[in-house]
Amino acid sequence: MALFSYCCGLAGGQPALAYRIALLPVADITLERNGVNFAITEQLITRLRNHGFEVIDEQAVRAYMVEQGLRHCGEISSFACRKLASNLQVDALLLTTILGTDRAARQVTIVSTLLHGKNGQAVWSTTQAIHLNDKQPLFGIGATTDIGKVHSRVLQTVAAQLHKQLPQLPQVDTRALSTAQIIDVHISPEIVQGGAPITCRVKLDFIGPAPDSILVTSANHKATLQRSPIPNLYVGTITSATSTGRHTIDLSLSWLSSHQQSVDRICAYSVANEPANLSLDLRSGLHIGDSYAFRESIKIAPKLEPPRPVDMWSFTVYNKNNDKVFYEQQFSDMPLEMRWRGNDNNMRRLDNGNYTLQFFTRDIAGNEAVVTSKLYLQNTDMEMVSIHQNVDDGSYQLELLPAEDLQVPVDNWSLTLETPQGDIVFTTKGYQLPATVEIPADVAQPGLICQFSALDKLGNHYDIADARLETIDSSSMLAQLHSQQNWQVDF
Amino acid sequence: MSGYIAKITVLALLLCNASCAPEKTLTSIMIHGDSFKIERLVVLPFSNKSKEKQLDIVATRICENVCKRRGYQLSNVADLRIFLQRKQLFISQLTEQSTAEVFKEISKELRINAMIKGKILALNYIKVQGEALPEITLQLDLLNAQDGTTIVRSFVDSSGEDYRTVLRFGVVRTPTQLLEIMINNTVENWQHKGVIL
Repeated sequence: MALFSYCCGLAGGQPALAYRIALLPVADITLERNGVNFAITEQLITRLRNHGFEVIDEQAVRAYMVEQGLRHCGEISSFACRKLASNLQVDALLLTTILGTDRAARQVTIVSTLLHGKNGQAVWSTTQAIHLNDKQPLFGIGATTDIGKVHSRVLQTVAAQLHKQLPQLPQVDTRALSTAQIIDVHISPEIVQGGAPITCRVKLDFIGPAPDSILVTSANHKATLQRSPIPNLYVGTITSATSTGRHTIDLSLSWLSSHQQSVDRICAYSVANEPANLSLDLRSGLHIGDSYAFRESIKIAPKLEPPRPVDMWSFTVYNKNNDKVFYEQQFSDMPLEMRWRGNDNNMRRLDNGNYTLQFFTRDIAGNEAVVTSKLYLQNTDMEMVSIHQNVDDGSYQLELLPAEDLQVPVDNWSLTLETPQGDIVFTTKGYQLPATVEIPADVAQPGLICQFSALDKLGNHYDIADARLETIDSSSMLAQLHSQQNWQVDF
Repeated sequence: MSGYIAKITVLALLLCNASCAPEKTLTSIMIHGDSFKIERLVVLPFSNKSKEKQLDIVATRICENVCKRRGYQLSNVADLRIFLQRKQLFISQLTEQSTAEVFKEISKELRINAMIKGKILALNYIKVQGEALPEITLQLDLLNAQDGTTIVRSFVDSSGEDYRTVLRFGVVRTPTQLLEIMINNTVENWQHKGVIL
């Protein structure tokens, strides 16, 4: 058996001075973290009483815990301990946790801590850990196999140690201790424009009577909190500071008959008189000049710098005539990312062309910010090239020129010349337009079929399949519009 | 007769030695060069990677007991929970997500300057002479409560068999006993090396 204990009270050996103890139900964590063992609790109470301690009725403790909403038996805040001691008129509170109470257990651990009722601090504690094999007699004759007997012995040891090691409670200084505790603070909104009202909800707990006045102050503004229908909750509205920045709220409690108490910086709020910097991060397309080109869809990631909660945002798209073609509005925080598929509100695909995207936000303080971005939509096939042939001093050339209204650059292209019988006589490729292709003299002959294929930087394909070189001795347009077999990659 | 006395003497010496457990090697990482004077501390709830799910609760309480026994003033962890509830933080988030400003506020509110954070990394049982003895790997961190920085970190690995002296004496059979010894040795090691005063 191992025995570890600690005592910061007076040394043992003095006659027992029975102080009044409240024992919280023993926390039994054998099977679950929030278990309670009332049988062990009763056993421990009996052991303590046998050692001369005045232990108050377990039912009174349980009723108090229910009334105060104390859920955990293994730990308690120092304020709750002081309040319990005051209300139940006890000098100390004993917390006990046990591990190993099931029948199959071969070991048991008990940790007990005595908290002083005046300040809620631990004044004594012990840890008892026993394994059935720790007390095996010689050859195992008469060995203990019942863990219940071990429990009984351990509880006896706890009570005996407490009696021996802490016959009297130490004196503690309680002058600096507060009789009020802030449990929770909530303000709404947390960001406001200067001078706007802020609602404060403060949950307080008291030892003894509640204060006669509860004030919150911030930047020379004051407000009195009123008791709400919810127990211990006090609510009021305070006017915010006018200057931009972070401001704190202080709390002041006063009891008319006796004293007052102040707590600084119970919470903070921000005053924002200017909108945050709104920007859009556009993805899955291509920047071309001052526009952003896309094909299937565009990813839009709005960003506020500095980050700020948003009350409302809207997304509007205008065409080149400034007609609204798409609109969406949400009264929620801004999405991290959204996708627009180049359609209108009826889910119809919009025509190729230039559009203006406008993103609008209103933060929770009421500041409005807007940002616009030019878009270029190309979601169907477009002519990319016009091919001309030139004959210059006996050399034959094909001149590849970008189409007049082409906005998205060509990424790569390939050109093939083949005979009407299907024999490929010439092939070449390139990465940009315009381009000039030299055709060897021994290859150039009337009737060759020119096949051209191009891919732009958005992934659109453009093909010319059957343009014929009918004359090769003069400059003429070979192909532009006919026999296109265009298609788009389905990513 | 003299032989009998000699046997008794040897046995007494062996039994006496039972209380002097062998020291396991500690791996400690010193973050700060200077000794740290603990004025008041809080033991954060241990985390637990072992299969015995409730062991962390007992380990936390044991660590509090060890610290008290060594004369350190302790703050109540339930007080820390209430403070963090106001900040809408869980204790598990404290060391990973909190800023130095939050630590400073905690330090002021609870009047602490240090925190101890423990992690039970592993618990296994090894069979020795027909008995299943616990073997624990433990990580113990001492944090500066003013800013959350780590002052010292120790990894300890120990088994109940390490403390056997003679026959079945000195063997540690329960994980809680073993944890108490390991935590106590670690804190003692910090003091011995001059990490803490």
